[in-house]
Amino acid sequence: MAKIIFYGGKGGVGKTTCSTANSINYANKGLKTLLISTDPAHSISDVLEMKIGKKITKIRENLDGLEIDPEYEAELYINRIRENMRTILSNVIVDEINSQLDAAIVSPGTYESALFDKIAEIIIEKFDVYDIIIFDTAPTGHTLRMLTLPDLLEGWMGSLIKRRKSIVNMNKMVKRKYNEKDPVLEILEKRQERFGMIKKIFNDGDNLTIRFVINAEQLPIEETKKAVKMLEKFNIPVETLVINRILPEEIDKEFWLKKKKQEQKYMKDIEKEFSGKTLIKIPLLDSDMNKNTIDRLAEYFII
Amino acid sequence: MDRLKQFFLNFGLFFKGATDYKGRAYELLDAETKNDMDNFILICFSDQLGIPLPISYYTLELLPFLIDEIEDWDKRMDKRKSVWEERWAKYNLDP
Amino acid sequence: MNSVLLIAFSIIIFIVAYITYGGWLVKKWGIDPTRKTPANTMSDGVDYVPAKAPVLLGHHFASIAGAGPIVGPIVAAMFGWVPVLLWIVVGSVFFGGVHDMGALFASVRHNGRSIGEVIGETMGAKGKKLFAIFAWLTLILVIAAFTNIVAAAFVSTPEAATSSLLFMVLAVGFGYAVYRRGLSLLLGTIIGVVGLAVCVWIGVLFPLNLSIQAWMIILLGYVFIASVTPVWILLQPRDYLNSFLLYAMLAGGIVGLLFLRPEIQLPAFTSFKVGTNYMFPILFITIACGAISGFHSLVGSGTTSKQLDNESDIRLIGYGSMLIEGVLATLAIITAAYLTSTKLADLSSAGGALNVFADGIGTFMSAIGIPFIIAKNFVTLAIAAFALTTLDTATRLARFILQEFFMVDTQKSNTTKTAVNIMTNKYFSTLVTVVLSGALAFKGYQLIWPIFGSANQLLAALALLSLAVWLKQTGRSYKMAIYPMLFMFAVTLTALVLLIMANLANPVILIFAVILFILAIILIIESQKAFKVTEIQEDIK
Repeated sequence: MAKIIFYGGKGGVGKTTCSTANSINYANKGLKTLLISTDPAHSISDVLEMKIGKKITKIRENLDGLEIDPEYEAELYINRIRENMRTILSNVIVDEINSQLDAAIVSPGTYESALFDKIAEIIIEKFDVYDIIIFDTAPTGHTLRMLTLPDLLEGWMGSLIKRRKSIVNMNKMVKRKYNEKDPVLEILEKRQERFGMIKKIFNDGDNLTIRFVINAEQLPIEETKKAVKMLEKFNIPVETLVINRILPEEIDKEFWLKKKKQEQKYMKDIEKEFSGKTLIKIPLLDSDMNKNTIDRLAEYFII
Repeated sequence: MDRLKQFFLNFGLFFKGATDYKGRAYELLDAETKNDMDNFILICFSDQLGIPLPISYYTLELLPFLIDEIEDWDKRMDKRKSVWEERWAKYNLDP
Repeated sequence: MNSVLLIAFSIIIFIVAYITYGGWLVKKWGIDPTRKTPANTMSDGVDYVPAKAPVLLGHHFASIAGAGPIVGPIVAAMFGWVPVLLWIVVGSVFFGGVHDMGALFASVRHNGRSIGEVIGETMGAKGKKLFAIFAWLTLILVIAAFTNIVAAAFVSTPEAATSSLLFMVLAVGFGYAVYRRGLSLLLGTIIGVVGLAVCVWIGVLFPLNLSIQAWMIILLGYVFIASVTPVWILLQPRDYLNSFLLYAMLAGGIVGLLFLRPEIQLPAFTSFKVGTNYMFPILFITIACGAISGFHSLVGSGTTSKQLDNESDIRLIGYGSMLIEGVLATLAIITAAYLTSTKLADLSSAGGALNVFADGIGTFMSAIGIPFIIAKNFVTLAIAAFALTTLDTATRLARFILQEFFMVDTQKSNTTKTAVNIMTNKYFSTLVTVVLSGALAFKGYQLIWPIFGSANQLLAALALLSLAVWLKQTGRSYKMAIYPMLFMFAVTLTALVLLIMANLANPVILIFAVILFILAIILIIESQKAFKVTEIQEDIK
């Protein structure tokens, strides 16, 4: 029975770093941990400086990693459908439908659905294999949507199933040729079962928790406040917050000089990497950005 | 003589049409069934019409199994644009 | 004067009219046997399926047969049988026949689309909504009138009440066995037909006596329940088994009539004004379904136009089926005409027009050896069965219109959203329909029937108007549609005005008549504009 941890937080607060660190901590304690990146940027590979792919890769003792590529998953799914069709239908019809399927790959909802599908698959498969499953999810909006999906999808599926059952019955009445087992109904019910399983896992407070990473800055705090309220509405508790990048208690010149040196190295990297492009340099200001201070920043945009 | 025979044949056909037992017995039921099937397909593949639903991704795998029901679907849906076409036409109301 | 002469008169006139006037219409409208029909060009194995002419005629006739052509002539018999017969004959030949055939033709040329749609198009967007309201009101009238008619018949013939209830049970059983459990249709039909006979017999043994008010409430309750249940449980089996009743009744009635050959006793002509009813317009609107009925155009363009194999069948099916209905109406007037005025009045007050008809056909059938009470029960059951199916269907259609009408954009306030949700709820919209019809029904069908007739013929006038507009736009002669249409407008508007004046103390009737009148005027104005339009799509020529 794995404990599932979702890491949420505004972009750039250091989710990847924190989730990776957390997972290493668990692994060191002896808990079998799986770290999963759903972020399209896949920064975990960058942090660990190793290639983590679409298949579960061992990172170190007790720690495995996985990067989900929704586009890849969607293509896999649709190709499976194509294969299916070839066994059932004539090639002529398959050809006609091919373009529909190709269009489906780039359709708006596909990315999210494929992502969710893969997450569901992993959770169901690996629930009894790992002790901890950590998701480094994409910035806030996606997290929320994803967590409310199982409920929504179960409802939709339920209504579809009801309709299909009624149709099968009515067709029997007008004596249309119908298989004893309606394949459509079978597929729908299997899906329904799957969504139900995920919903159960998500709704069990002991199984699932969400950790938010924030910085001690205005915007992340605001965003996280909203997110926590939203999740409470859906009965998903947020028990732990990770406050990242807290300045040390004793700040001295040493600290800042070290940071500045590191920054200069990276500045050189930028100038080398992006030579030929216009670079606008904006300093770190000593107060938050708001409607009064934003004018100060505006001056720096010389073009 | 031939014309008389034809007349009686037609008379018989008239009564066949009037009772038309195979047809009339299932007419309304059939119409209702087809309507429901079309509605189902509409929901499953609304994506193709530009209306993505949360389940659009998952209903894709039903496509191979619904091919028969999809045939001529768009023509039928076109006819359902108005209540006159869809309902009044089918229910044969005459007081 | 012998009644057989009346039937012979109708049939002969109809045959002559079919050949001459029907043929003239074919020529004038350019009905083209070489042109492919939608059933062939748009064949889809579902709705657009070509059918052989006689089969289609039978199917079309079975769809338009109802209780209407029976009630109308008998109620109008107050003016004497000659005016009634004349209006049936002239109406069917020059009005109803033109209307039915024209509607069918127009629908065929509009790719088989329903006339309701064509009328809507002629009206424009605003007119379309008004037309929907108008249709809904007409349906309410149908439900009110028929509830009352059946209730009255159940009072005078309580045997039929029992039989009808048993028939309902039989229908549900049939539906369950044949559709749900897959019993063979042939076997089910045989059991069903035998079952019908048993219903009739048991009804005679155990008549069920209740007051007319009680029956109306029971019937309204039945209508509510029947129209929300799935089609396979009640409506479909009833619709199917009804046709057997109809043909048995018609066959028995006509054969019996030929055997008995009763003499006409009713006065040929009474007066131009009977009570508060003036012959113009009351005679004409009372007999709608037997002379000209707007509902026919909606039926014809429903399924028939999509199944027409060749345009040369249009005369047979459009014009021909109206004439057959005219024969049915003639049969109805005979059942009143062979009585004396007193006997007619007695039977009418005991159980309404249905009682008169059933009594008559029952008497005819007893001449060929069937016991009178069984025959009368059987006929009442048959007509009541049709009426009840009509009630069920009308309520469903009324609900669909309400639902479509109230399906507005719910981007507005939350109260609108809740209101919309309630109004389009299946049960609520049915309830509204049933309650409203019930309120009307309790006024008695003598009051409702004239309004219903007016609404029905207004519908016919609108169809004729659309027909005329289309004929004009495609450069065909259209006068044969205009004159009947003008007459219909004159008759119905006069009738509505008279009804308004006569019912100033009767709020329910008054409101109905006023609304219908206003709607009629607006619809006429809206379609006046259509007359000015001369452009037209190429493909609906």
